[in-house]
Amino acid sequence: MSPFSIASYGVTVSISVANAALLEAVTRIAPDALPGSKLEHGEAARFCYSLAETGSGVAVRRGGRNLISEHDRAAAVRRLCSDIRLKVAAAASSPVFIHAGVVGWKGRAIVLPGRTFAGKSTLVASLLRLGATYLSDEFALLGAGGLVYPYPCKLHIRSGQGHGDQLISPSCFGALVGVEPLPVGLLLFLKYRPEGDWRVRTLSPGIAALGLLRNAVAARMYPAETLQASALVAAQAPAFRGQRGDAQAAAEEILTMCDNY
Amino acid sequence: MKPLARNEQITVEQVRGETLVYDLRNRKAHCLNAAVSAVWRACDGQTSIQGIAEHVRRELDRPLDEAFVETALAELSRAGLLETGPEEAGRVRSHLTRRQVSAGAAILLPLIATIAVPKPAAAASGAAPNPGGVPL
Repeated sequence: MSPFSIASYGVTVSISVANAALLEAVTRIAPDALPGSKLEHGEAARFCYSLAETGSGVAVRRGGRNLISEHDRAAAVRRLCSDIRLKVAAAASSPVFIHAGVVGWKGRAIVLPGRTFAGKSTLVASLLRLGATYLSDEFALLGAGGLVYPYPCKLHIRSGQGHGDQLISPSCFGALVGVEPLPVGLLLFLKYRPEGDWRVRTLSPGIAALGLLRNAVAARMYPAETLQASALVAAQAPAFRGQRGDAQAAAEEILTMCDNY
Repeated sequence: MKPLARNEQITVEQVRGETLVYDLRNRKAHCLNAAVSAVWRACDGQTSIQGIAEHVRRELDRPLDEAFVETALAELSRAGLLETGPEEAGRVRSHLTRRQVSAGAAILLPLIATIAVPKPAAAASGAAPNPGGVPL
């Protein structure tokens, strides 16, 4: 089948699929898994992917190299989309992609920078249960004027009990999805400590900007843009670092903090 | 000694008195606190340490002395943010050693925080090193 292209934040990727069943899986899953993307025709692709059935499942290749092998189509497409998200984040100069969970609260964004396995999604889910608006559990998109733009792919919740990962719609937590960019109201660099108490302390704007830089995907590719965006956000929002224990208790603390600043 | 701030292959942003410096040579990023930022700005290659101290005192309205400037210069040199030859760099380091031994100036710490800017994959996985010890 002829390849098709998807453009996301100025980065175009082409995807070739071997049969109609794979095409159906991609067109069903990709729109939700790749926020801000649209189908393109005739655009020069920066990255080229292909999917093909194998004897044991589905193989995904990028640039002719084996990338992923999964037992079922849906899992392969989710992994494909995950790779595309990271490639787009690393290739886009604007907005600046920061690994972070983001929710909206009373017109301002609460940004929780952190990498994979840092517990962002669990904390974001707890904030949604308390009425926060969903913006992202993967990237904070820092744009013009220091605003944070939504990147609302499904929440990636890890069971931690051998049941695999789950992709959960924010509506399952009764949450609305934010559609407008928001100014940042609070920056929180938190580490999850099982049985840990809530304990945070203030960060200077400069140190907070370093923290954003440390979680920026394209900081090496676009240092000036990343530094500028990080500095702008850090200058406008109070920032803290520390530890959290139980996500629900931490979510209550965070919303109280946001109300008080 | 008349130190000169490095201005090539770096990107600089100001944040409420602090200075962020991205070093394109080694892909490290630094945050200079307000006092060290003032010292760095005054390093024009024509001003002595005494002159820098006077400049910083005026700019920050704080009683910072030459000992503080020497310590700040040592930190700046170690971060690679001064255009210094080997001889001058050695002098800066010796000032720092004496200052550390005497546990001198009660200064605002950290003077300079440093991180290694991660590769995209490291930013995703949490594998990025943090040699500057900024626990974020």
